[in-house]
Amino acid sequence: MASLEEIKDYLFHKVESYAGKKQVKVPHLTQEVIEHFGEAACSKKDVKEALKELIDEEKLVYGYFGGTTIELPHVEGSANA
Amino acid sequence: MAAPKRKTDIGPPHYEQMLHPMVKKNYGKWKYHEKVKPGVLMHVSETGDKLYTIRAASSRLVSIEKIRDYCNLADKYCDGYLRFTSRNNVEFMTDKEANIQPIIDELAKMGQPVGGTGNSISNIVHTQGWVHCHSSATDASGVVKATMDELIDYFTSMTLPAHLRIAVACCLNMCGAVHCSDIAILGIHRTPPTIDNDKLANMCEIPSTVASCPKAAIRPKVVAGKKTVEVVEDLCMYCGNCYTVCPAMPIANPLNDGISIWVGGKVSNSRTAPMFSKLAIPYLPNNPPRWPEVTSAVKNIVETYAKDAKKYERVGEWIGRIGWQKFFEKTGLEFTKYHIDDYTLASSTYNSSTHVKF
Amino acid sequence: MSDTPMIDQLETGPWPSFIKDIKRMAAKNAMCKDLLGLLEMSYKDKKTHWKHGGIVGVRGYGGGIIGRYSDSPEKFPNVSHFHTVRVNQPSAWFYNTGALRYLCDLWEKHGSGLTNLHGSTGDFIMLGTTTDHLEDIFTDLSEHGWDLGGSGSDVRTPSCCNGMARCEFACYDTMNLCYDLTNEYQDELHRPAFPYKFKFKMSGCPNDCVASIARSDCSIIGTWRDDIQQDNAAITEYAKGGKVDIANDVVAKCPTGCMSWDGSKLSIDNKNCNRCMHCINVMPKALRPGKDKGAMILLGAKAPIVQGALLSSVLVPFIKMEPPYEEFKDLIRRIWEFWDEHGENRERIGEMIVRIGKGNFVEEVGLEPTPAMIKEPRSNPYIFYEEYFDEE
Repeated sequence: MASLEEIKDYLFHKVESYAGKKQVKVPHLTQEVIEHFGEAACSKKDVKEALKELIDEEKLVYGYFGGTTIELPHVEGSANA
Repeated sequence: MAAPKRKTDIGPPHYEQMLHPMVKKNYGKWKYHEKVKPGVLMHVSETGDKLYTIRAASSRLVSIEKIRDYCNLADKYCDGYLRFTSRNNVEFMTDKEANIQPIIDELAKMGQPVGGTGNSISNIVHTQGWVHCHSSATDASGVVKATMDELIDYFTSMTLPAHLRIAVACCLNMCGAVHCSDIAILGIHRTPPTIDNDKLANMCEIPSTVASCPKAAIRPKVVAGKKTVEVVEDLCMYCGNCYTVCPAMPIANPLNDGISIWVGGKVSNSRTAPMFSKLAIPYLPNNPPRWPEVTSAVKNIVETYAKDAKKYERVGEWIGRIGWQKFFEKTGLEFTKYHIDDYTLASSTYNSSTHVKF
Repeated sequence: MSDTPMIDQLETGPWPSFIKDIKRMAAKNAMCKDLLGLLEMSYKDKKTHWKHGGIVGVRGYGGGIIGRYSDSPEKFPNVSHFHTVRVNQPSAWFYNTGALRYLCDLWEKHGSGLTNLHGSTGDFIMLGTTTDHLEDIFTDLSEHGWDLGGSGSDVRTPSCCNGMARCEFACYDTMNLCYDLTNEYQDELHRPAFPYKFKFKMSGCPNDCVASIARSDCSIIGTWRDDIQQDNAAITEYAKGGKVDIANDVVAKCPTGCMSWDGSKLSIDNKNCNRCMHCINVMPKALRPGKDKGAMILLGAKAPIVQGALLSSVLVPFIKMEPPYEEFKDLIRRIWEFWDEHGENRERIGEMIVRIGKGNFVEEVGLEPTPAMIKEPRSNPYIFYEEYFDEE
């Protein structure tokens, strides 16, 4: 079994690797994480829990661009910053 | 460090605390209703109780000051309860018949006409438009105000053959889902987004921008040494999703944006099945602040329908009976090649019969 | 000379004026003053001056806040950031004035003071605030028993008609189901994890006052299985006063021809009635839906983007709808599992059903195909037979 921390780490690094290249969606991420650990070691529910913690800790944020995405926190292009 | 805990996932307040005592007492016991007069309903319970509802027009965009006015009125006459309808009207409910006229009088003072019941034109459901939307091709609130100013007599009476429901959406994303309305007023973009090649790479992620297009019409490109994108114009369907993702690709085009008019949709199952609205007018110009071309086009369709339809016929049922040939003839609207469908399954809309009127 | 000559023209006329309302608020709120200026500019330029903000939200939630920035921050600094807060409305938009006044006070403190009553999906919309207010708004709301609505690829805020609260046609308790589902699916509502959005709308009868068949991925429409309840004395009353021309207005308009009227008695062949509601709508005092009530589940409505508009179509012709709604929730679980597995990015459930075939979908979610699910059987011969014989 993969631990919650292991799943969180992998999930975070996946999103990090997509930053600036692809706006990644939850179903896609979930599939990738499960494939990495194998279905026996990591369930959909585990990924969901890991994502919830990363979001609650504000290490990752939700985005909405015609469908929900998972992103690293950043200042977006449209913000009048 | 874990973030501090706060309450989440509690959902909305329970509806029971929002119900007038008369509503609570007769919940599930209503027997029948009558339309006392335009804008006034009487619901009668099996217990013999009677509940009067006064329905008034409200703009969907309301300030907290106006909401407080509504609250004052509800406190005075309705024991502190009120509701809003699925078409953005406001409703005041009372168990005292004597309260009906004072409520109507006070609403009149506030500038809220009473009506929208039975065979009327009720409030127009609509989207945000220029007031708050980034992909709008027209304003929504302004178009609604201009249209209802013209059609007010149909709101405050019940003289039409049947209900007539109008909806406005400010682009074809249709947050207002106008596609099943008796008359739909739909903002349209007619040109692909413009691209700010200088700023694009700074403001937007190019891969995300490319991926944002549901038709795969956006491709990476280099212009004068700068990374940017191009749009394959034949594929673009003007949804504006690229602008949602990338602010350097505005879809708005003041010269070409405008309004199209669709007719004959309905959602009720009464008599006939629900149906989509179909194209009546492919393009009218954006002409703020009062959109005279749009309001007169809508009024023409309403009046032609009111004169020609039989009792209980919705616009779509009326057209179903007389046929599209007669619809274009009676309304005097121009029929163009744009009216002939060319999307998926278009052939199902062709006339494959000899049923033609001369 | 006014700064806003074009939009000023929308202050006159009999219909309530949203411009008047924004001006009233502008007297004490600088955001509204700048909003008027920005809107006037749109009316002059004939184009929008808004940009989309994609990553604005409250901590932990992926739904409920819509980010907005203007494209003219230097001219109108007070609406440079102007985000929307979606507050989950109570069932069927009933309020007590205390609840409404609370929301007004909160919004006076933290935003523009402008609202939409209500948004297209049903929420109480607070229109226009800045990022630094969002957490305070949310904390205050939740302390007072309110929560945010949906946005993005999640369960959108469910909405319903006024059902049993004020309608004799209601065939199930729409307001209770709406409240129950909203609470059951809190996680799915706040933490978007679907291929795209998913909307529930509940109407108590086939009149469908919340347009669920056109506007929701899952339309739950009340209906009945037994005979229309008929009060012959009331029918006579309608006929006698000349209030209703029963032969022409009722019988001749019946789409199934299942009624007859001999001048004094109305007969209904209930086995052939398709529950269209017309006769009941015309004579509510005399005719009522039957007693064996429940709901029909239809799936797949959506607006045009991407693959064209769809209406919902029948999945379950009749289901009893009583708390705790377990049979229904079990069906929804199977539907979501399948959509999660097979739905493509940004594909609504209706589009997925068209792509994979309704027959396959029905089988995958464990239902039996029935003629009630279709308008007509296929007319093309391109059948993919899954079973055929091999020579032994």
